[in-house]
Amino acid sequence: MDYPVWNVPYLGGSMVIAVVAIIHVFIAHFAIGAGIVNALTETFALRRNEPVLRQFLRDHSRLLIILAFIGGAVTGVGIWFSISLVSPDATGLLIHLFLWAWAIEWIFFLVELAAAYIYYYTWDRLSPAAHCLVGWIYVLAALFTLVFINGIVTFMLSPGTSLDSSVRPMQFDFWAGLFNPTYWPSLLLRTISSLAIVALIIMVLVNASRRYSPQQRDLVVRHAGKFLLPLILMIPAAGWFFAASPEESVFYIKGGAIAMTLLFAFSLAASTLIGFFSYLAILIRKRSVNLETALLLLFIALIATGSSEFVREGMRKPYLIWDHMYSNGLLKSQVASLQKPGKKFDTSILRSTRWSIRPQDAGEVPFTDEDFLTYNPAALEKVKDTVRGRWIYDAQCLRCHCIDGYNGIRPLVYQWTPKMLVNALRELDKVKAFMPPFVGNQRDREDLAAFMHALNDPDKKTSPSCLGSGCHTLDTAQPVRPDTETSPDQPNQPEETEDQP
Amino acid sequence: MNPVPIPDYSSFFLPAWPWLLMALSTFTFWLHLLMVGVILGCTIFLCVRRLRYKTPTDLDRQLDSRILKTMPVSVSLAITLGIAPLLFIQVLYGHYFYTANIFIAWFWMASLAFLLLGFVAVYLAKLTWHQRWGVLFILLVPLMFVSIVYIFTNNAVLAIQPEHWLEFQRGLRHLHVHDAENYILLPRISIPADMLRHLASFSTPAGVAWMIALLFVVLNLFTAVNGILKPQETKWLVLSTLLPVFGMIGMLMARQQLRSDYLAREVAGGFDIYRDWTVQPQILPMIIFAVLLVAGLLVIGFMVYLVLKTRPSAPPSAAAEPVLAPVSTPSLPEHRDSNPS
Repeated sequence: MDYPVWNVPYLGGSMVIAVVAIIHVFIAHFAIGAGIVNALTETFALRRNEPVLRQFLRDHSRLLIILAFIGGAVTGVGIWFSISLVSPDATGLLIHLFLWAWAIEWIFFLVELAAAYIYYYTWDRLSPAAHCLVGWIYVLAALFTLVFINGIVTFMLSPGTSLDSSVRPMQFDFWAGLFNPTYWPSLLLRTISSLAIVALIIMVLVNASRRYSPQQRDLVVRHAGKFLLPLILMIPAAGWFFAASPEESVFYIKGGAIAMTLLFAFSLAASTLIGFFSYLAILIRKRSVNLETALLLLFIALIATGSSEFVREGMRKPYLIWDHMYSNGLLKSQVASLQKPGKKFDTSILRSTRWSIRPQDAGEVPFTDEDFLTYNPAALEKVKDTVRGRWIYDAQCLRCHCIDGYNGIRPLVYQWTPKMLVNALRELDKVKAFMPPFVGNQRDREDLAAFMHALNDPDKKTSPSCLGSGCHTLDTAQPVRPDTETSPDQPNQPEETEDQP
Repeated sequence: MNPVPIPDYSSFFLPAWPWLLMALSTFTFWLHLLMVGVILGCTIFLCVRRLRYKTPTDLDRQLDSRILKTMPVSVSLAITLGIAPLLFIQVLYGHYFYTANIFIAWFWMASLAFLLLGFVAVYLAKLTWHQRWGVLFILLVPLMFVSIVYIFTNNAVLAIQPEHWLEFQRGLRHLHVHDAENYILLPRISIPADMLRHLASFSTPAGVAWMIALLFVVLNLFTAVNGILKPQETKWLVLSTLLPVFGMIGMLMARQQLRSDYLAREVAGGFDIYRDWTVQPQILPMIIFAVLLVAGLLVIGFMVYLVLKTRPSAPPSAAAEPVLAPVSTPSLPEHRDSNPS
């Protein structure tokens, strides 16, 4: 929370991560699945003397290079860039905990890269057996990249080891963190998903090319259909995953958040149905799949993969790292020390989130660089409450909530009174289980409430774009009304907070 | 001036000793820069050649084709080799690095677009090289990669100068046009005299390495001129390649030293990686990394050996093709119609 904030109007930083990450997940799964399918297929083609299959691999191995090492490399770096901009605290923590896991993954990626290029360029040069060997080296390298990255990704949901940041420096068990409770089911799910995506891409490619006769096409389709079969295991694998997940996180899947329940159900049903389709239609009844059907199945599979990634990310709420760091970068262990009584500017949360203060927003009120650098409570007091509220919003809310657009705060607080807002902020994590607690003193709550209330006040000419970009002051906004000045000890008023739209 | 607030890093630990991480950072960054140098050198070389010759000879075509063939691999390698130094820099100086990133966030993200464009331009240049406008794509490649270098340099310079952060906080990151000139002025780094004296005093390994690197640069002028004048003597060519390659190590060490000196200033928070980081080495993962690094390089070497020990065969002959059906098959429509899917 003590980093500057990156404001992405309308889309939001978290959505930038999501877009880059989803594309990367598709490509990375393809790269891993393609390695396994290529090596198995080439070995099979050599042993069973099926030149068509080998020729098919040869025709399309360029796709592996282009997708995996242009798209994959760029989006992979893109994830790193975007997470460090949106959540530098979490990125920094993960880098320190798992430096060697990432470094080892890098070695495997280097081997994977070398193997892929050699595989692609040496169809005519290497003997079939040697070429096949290079394919298997690629498989091992690609699988081991997944082995390590999967550990870091699943650690965020089920750390598997206590992270006590109150002890300085933090104590950490590397292996327990890497091979955490959701590690193995996640590895299984991702491997199944990788194989399915590749199998469907093969069906699209073989149908899209006019190079193959119908018999040859059927042969390739039936061969690819075998790699869809593991999808039948999606339900037990997902069950295993959820059984290993923290109990509270599964609450959302079981109906706690209906959007997540539906996405999860769709993802699971679509994957399983594609698996059964493959078994019954392609393998048992020996039917083929035409281009349109292959494309449809591929898009369904990609949407299912995207949905399951969304669900996996959503399950972690309100945490970025389960039970340790909230989605806005706040450490769970910091909450008690950052909650302050009273209304003094000296104890404002802005002291801890200094880079959310933008002196230029103070407008005509003098707020100098020195006031910023020394944290001058007297200067802060002169700043409009809505401006201070905006700074607090930037520090604690902006990473997940735009003003307008994705997860927009304006519609979320429509028709809320300042009193309702202050009360909701006092018990935010209890009012909404997927929200982190608000940290700060009573003044901070009132300032944030004033800012949020001003967003929907028709009397105040606050344009969405200006509020969204954080460029200008909210000179027209009024201070929060006196009736919000409640004691910090005053209990929450559920009858008011339940009025939320 | 009061020190700028530096994000808190006190709850983190270093999973290895700082000297090791700095060595790995320098070594992997060196590898990365070599590949970036290869890309820039090759593309600029191709551009100049293409603009100079009017009617390419067969030799010209062969040389261009061989260089172009290596380009996609070089770009992939440059990106992959860039990941490791990025990792080590984050673990050593993350709290400075991330803050600088956020201040130039849109430029930082734009570097991804430049990377993608550069990569695509490499492939398009390869495909269209012999067409009249093929040169346009190869011109795009150095342009994109130099833009990335420019953004990364800005980031590195901004990260070690927290005294400039407040200027960015005041609005530049929102891309206000009237502040744009401030950005263009960066990197505004003029090395203070005391730091330069420290570096040139031979009191640190970095200082010694830097002096050797400067010597290499001077020697390189001599070897390069000799290489041009006596092209039949390959030793000059080899020397003028190796001198900058190894000289770069000294420059990178000097860069590390300067970074340390800059961050040690009071205005930058007086950060010292040896004093301020708590080290909790993760011994077993570290050993596995070292073993796998060696094993990985051996495997890559083995694959390259497999390729080199076999001579390239003739391009696939027509005899190999009959495996597949002709381009259009009469039975194709019927087959598709009969498909129940």
